[in-house]
Amino acid sequence: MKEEVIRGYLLTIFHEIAPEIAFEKIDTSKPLRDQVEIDSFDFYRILVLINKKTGVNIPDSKISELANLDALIKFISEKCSS
Amino acid sequence: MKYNVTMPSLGADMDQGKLMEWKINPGDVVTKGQTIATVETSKSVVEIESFRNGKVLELVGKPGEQIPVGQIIAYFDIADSEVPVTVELQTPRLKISPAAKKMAQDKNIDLATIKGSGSEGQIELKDIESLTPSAGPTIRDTIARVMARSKKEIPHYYLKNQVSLDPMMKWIDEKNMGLPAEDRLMIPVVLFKAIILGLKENPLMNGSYINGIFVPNEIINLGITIAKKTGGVLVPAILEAQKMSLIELNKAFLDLLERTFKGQLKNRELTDGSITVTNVGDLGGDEVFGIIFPPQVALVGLGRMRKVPVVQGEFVRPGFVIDITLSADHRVTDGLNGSRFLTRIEQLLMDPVQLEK
Repeated sequence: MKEEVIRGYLLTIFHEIAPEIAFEKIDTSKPLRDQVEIDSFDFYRILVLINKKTGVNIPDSKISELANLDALIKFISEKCSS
Repeated sequence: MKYNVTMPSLGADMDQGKLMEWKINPGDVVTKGQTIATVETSKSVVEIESFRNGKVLELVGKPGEQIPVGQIIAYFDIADSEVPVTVELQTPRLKISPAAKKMAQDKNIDLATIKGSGSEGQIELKDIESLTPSAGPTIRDTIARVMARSKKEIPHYYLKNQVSLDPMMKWIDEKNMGLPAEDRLMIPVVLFKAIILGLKENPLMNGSYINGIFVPNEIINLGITIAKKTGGVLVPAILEAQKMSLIELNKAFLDLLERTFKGQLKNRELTDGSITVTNVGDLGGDEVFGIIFPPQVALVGLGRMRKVPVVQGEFVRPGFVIDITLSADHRVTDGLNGSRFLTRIEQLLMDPVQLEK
């Protein structure tokens, strides 16, 4: 799956979970949760929606390595292509 | 027979509630557990359930009214067999003169903060006259009062175990791979399950201490601190959590979170917790030593889950750990009881297959 497509999915998901967040303004190279106010419940719902929309299940043990959007998009993209 | 429905107490900290909306009408048949009204407290909007089966005779309380705890809000007609035969626990009555009570209500004064100057500590009119009217308790006021009371009355002791989460992480990753997306297990829920199973073997941690007596609770109503997005915390409970499988517990926790944020909690969820778990989340401190929520006798603290260097034989490797703490009431248990409880939780997390039982 192309990274632009995944980015589009994430935009939709963030809009659904936290519509107050300006997704376009997020610096994708910096830790996400330093920039936006989402709690662990919001984050859980984001993971569930990523799984529903892309079919990729993000393991809990990997989450600490996927702190920024670039890493998250890359992970999903690699999982989709494998 | 005629049955008085009164404004319920939704916690030791509640003096009054604002009746928001009736969910029933005169003439309706009401069953036990049915939502009959919504009430706003200083903390949240709560759905009030009926404690009896019966028929609505009259709705006395008016929507929008601030109503003191214990005041009649409705009359039901109930069968004689519905009359409780057990003696219900009563909180000690406050000694206050009628005139002082009236003025305190007018000024919105929190009576728990007043020391009476009358005989046997009775609050008199002069104790209230000099006080400035209050704008009403905020959630911060409520938390301050309950926590100050706990620290004053309960001799806490504290324990901590640092627990390796590597086996649990491996297990939950595998488990979630096989589950539908919407059933994805949350890590806190797996920790809750270990606490619940640990409580079954350590019942002295689950119950209430009232009037000098500890009453163990066979039912585990797991109170969970939930930070409100608007500030402050609530401690609603997952009721009868001991009956739930992991998947059921996961669903129950998600439902509780949703309803907490929407202000749709039920009164029993706020009043019937038998133990509390405080979870600082993944952005919080490494460890949390909480303050017991009276009349409970224990509180489990879950710190921030994190990766640290783990010594394994002659090698050092990165590994997930969490600091699990216990704050417990020394009037009921000793450090040995607490240690056994924490150690049991640790054992279960080290062998997570046991959590599926």
